[in-house]
Amino acid sequence: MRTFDMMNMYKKISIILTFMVALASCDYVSAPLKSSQPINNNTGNSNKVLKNVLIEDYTGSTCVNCPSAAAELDSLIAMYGSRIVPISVNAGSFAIPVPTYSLNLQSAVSDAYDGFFNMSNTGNPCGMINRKGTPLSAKYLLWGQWGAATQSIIQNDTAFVQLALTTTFDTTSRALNVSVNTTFLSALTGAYNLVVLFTQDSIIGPQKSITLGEIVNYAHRFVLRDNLSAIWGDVLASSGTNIGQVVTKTYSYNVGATYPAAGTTTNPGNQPAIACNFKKCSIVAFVYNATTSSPSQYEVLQSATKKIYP
Amino acid sequence: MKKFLIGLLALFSYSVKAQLLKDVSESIHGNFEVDAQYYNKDTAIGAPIVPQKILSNGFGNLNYIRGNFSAGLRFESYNPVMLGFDPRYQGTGIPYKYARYKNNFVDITAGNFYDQFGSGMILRIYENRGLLYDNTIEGFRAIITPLKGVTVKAMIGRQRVFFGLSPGIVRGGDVEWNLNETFDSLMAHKKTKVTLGGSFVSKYQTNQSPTLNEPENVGCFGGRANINHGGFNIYGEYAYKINDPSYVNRYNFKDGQGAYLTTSYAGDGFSIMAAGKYVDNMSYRSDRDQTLNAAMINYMPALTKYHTYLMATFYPYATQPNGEMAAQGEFQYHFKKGSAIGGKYGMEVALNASVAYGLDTVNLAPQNDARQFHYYVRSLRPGEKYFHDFNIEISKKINKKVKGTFLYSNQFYNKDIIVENSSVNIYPNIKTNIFVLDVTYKYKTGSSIRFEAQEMYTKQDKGSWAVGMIEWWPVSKFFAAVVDQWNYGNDDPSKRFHYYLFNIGFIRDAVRVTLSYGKQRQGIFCVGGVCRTVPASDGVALTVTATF
Repeated sequence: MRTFDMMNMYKKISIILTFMVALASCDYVSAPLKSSQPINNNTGNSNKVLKNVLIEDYTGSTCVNCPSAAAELDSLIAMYGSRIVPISVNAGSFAIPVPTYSLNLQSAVSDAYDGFFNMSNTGNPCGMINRKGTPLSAKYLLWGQWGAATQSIIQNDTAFVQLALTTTFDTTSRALNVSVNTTFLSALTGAYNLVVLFTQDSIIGPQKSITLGEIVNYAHRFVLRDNLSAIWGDVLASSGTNIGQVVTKTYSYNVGATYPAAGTTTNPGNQPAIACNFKKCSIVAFVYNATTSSPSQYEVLQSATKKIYP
Repeated sequence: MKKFLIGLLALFSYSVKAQLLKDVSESIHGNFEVDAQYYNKDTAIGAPIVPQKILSNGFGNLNYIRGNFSAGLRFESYNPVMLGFDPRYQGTGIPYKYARYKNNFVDITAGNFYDQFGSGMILRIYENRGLLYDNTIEGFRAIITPLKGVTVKAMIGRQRVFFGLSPGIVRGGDVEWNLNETFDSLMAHKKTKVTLGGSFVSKYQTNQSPTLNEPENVGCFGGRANINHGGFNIYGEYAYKINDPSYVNRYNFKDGQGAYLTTSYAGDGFSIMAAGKYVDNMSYRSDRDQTLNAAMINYMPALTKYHTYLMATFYPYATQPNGEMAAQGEFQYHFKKGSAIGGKYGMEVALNASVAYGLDTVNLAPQNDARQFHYYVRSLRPGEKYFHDFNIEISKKINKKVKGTFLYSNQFYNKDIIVENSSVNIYPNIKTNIFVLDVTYKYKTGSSIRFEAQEMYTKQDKGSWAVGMIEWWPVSKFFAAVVDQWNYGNDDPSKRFHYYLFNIGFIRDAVRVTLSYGKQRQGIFCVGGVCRTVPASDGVALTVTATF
């Protein structure tokens, strides 16, 4: 039964609740840009190993928002320098060559990563930062999230692995030899794989843009072209590691004159392959957690990149 | 979760004890739905290869009600998610659970809830199973009626994002005042009914950007009024949002505002409606870095006719939250039985027109944009044209057994803006003329055959389409249908595909089972202003729904 006391009580409750909501304040920002903070890569300890950040940009020539993601990747490289290891993964429907946007920047390894991590199925542009996040769907990040994720790794994550890349390249035969030295800095449990990839930078060609329409001479950067290791990597350790354990893997690879190889990608219009300028090519290597059912399965522990021709 | 279930059990135990003291009505109800599809390889129509062959979406709702108390949950399972839905739904779980107590004065919910303030311009928390859209808040909500005619709402919680929660916290309050109810001695019998409302919502999300001073508390507030007098009704709402840089608005720090006005009049045998809307930078999400359908706090309805025929929905429009002005008008007239035009059974005619334009904006050069506004609104004149739909629909019963509907719709669709959200001209604007004829022949009680013929003429995009459909209900509990969508006007003769679909189903009590086989074209599916891309597919689909 409704009484006078109850009415008073409900009035008080409603007033308190209204105030609670009003107290949730608004932050008015008059200076949107943060002052740039210098990144201190010099820890004062020459033995200290810094953890790099593998940024995979899932993109395509007909993806109108993808130049914004590429610009974000460029700005993170400008901010963090060699701590960033970039890859552009051209895969999904926006990467299939069509008239006007006829560059075929796809590769079998790009398709494999894109399909497994459900990147273009969820929506381009997007990417992964060190392949962090659980469950699998949490690895999907829009470019607006890359900065915070990168900064968090740079500021907080510990490097448990050191990578050293050595390459030799014969410009005549186009034979490339790669040696990857992996040093485990801690005793880790689980399995760890090494992935070695081949990328080509600054391929000039058309790109669709939300703000500019067709950009005729767009520089497609860090394009993933091939894999030297198995797509999901070669085993470094299958059941734990010891402190100081070193594993060396070597790869012999013939740099193609053009990419991609015929018949390896979706190419309904039979668009021609693209010449490969070896002066723009790099090796990307990364070690990831391959422990089945681990919450951090697929997370990248360390990454590095090196141009094949100085 | 475990703690929640223990809590529920405790509440159930309490109610069992209470029953010894007082007899209270008690019920359990719910519903289940499972959709599964087997996918054939069909690269010709662009259907992606599905390694798992079979994909399925399923859910089950269970609600327990005992007197003023209710509790429930929803189990969901996607193994894996069917094509066309956001693959981040992958998984199984109970993302929705609640306990609620409600009497005449107070309504309190602990757990998940849905709600809406006004038209939804500030807050609309809802789900749409067809789109796999669910932005439920997990937290607490209290609704109080301190005075007759006054409803006060307050809520706090975090929104569902797939099988997790948004990083942002949503806090909101709303007051709605029905003056006629409050001043019942003075106004209860007045023909004019007045309702006023006001809302405030704030979200909190930490700033982790290395480059931007993103506001952590972002507030949005507004007011509304509804006046009704006989057949006349007018509703207006205004909302304002402070700086809210987000992925959707490309991290601009400009404030946002929205206004919505709709008025209607219904007289003897006719009705007329007019509505207008203005939206500037009103995307509002509890996670500023989300897009697509995730973590949306508010909702702005598209001012367009809700079509049901395939061709009329081929190019659907959705509100552009970054900036839009839109208007809609509708006139419906019923020609009475026995009149010259109405004939023996009468006739319904509906004229509808809707238009949507962008705002008249000027982009700011970076050197002149220290505040990171990116643009300013130059005037209240319409900017670029986004959409129009001018249509007429005539429905008439010819005789006791035959009735029919004719629809003509002329549409304009700015694909650059609506699909790609691009302000530059990449695609030609799509102009369509759509004709629909729908005839139902009811040959005996509970038995009918329905024919649909649809034609969409266009020179843009994939060219013209035609649709034919026959739907047969031999008895009221069973149906069979065949539909063919033919892209006969495709510029590329090799792509003039037929997308046929065979469909059978039966309904028994509250159970419905449908089985279909055929092809689906690629397209964009929009419901309530929210859209998703549906890839082409070819296969067998089974849907089972049950309600109890």
